[in-house]
Amino acid sequence: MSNVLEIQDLFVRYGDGTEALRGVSMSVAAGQRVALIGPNGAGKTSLLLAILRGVEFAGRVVVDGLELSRRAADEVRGRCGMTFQDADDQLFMPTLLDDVAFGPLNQGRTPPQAEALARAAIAAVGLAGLEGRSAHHLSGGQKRCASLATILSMQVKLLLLDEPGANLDFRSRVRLIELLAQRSEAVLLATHDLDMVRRLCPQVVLLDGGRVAASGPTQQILSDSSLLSAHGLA
Amino acid sequence: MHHAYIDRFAQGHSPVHRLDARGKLLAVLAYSGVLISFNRYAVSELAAMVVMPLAMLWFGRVPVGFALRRVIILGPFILMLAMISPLYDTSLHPVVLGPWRFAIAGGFLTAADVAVKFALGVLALTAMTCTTPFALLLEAMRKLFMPKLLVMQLGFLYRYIFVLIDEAMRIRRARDFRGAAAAPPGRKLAAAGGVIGSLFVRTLERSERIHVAMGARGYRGEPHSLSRLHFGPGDVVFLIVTVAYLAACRLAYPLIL
Repeated sequence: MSNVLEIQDLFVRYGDGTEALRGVSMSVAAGQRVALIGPNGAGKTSLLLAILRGVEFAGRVVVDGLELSRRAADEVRGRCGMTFQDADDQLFMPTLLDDVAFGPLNQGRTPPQAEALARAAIAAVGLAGLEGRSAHHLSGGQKRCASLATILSMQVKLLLLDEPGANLDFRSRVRLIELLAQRSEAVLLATHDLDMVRRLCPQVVLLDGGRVAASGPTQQILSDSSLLSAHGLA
Repeated sequence: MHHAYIDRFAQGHSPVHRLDARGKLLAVLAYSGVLISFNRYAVSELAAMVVMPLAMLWFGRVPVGFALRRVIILGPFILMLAMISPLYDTSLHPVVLGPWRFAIAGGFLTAADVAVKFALGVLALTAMTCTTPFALLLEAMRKLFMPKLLVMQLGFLYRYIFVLIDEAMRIRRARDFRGAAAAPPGRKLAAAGGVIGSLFVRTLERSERIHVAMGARGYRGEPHSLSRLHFGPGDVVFLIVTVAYLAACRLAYPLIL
């Protein structure tokens, strides 16, 4: 199986001198779901942002065979989509339909094509009939699903999800897990929700202090209580 | 404050809701232009101008009381301006009120003129915003060649104003729950400064996150959108009727008097 994401020796340093990532290497195969776990400040969000060149980095990132560079950033963004921790950051257009069509239109699709993709994505996340609504008319769970729809409509090969289950009630969370379990795209899921990881991701990468502390099958990593305890996860 | 305050009636299905947003926007712009063109001492001439906003509200099934409440809420800002008019305009002007004829300082007429024009303008704007989803209004602005940046900023304002208000409310609640109400005035003032500063920093951080989110979905500075506007024969009739009505309002008085 070919890799849809390859990362080698990734370093991210912020303007205040904070080293968010210090030599991270990992890969995600096509269609594979990988969880990125770790304590607060481990570098999970920075890693996701670096893949879309949302932060400056050093190292090598290859998305679907295309090496990420300043020039290739737009093309890479057409191959992977990211949802953010706060759905209000993700949903910035006046209506749900506009929001979900935003990505396809920027990919150069015609308005009818973009609208068809947007409607299909909205239906896929169970929000059909709410196309004309503004994000502030949606519940927390609906906003999460709408955020997911904004990247599904782009027909990307890799979904980068930053805390998708945060602030969701039990039913909305279960619905989101079922929704993600049905998708065929590769997923890199940054989360503290170990139950979601168990249900969704066969592979786990444990980050701490900007480094990969462990990686492997979910069962193996999450059953190692001393490892989890050492990294503030148990 | 809740977002329903803006959107409460906009998703209706009345004949006015079905009109193209461009037609309504042009009609209200023309109405505003005609409204401000009236002489400031000729307040009575504005009487006929009340017909259009009331008709839009009536046919749009928007309660007039709701629109009047908006006028009252916004009233204090403009009344401050109106109230100072009598101080600088003391010239006398004749006023005919039925069988009575008397002279009054021009400042009072100006004050009444400002208040009436303001009320009618707000009524017309309310009639338009209550019968048109904001997304369609933004699209109409784009199609009518308003600056893209301005339209985009209006879109962000509409999307995030209540997010920011909610954020401010949460910060204020957190402050109040820690005894801010009982604090001495100096400390209250310092806390208010902290709230404003915190809100500013959060807003800045949010704008950065939104920018990253837009970039992540391929945004490169050129806004694209789906088109849902359709200018039909009904819109042409609406615009013709509006123009005829405004022309009658503006030109009829000299003929009548």
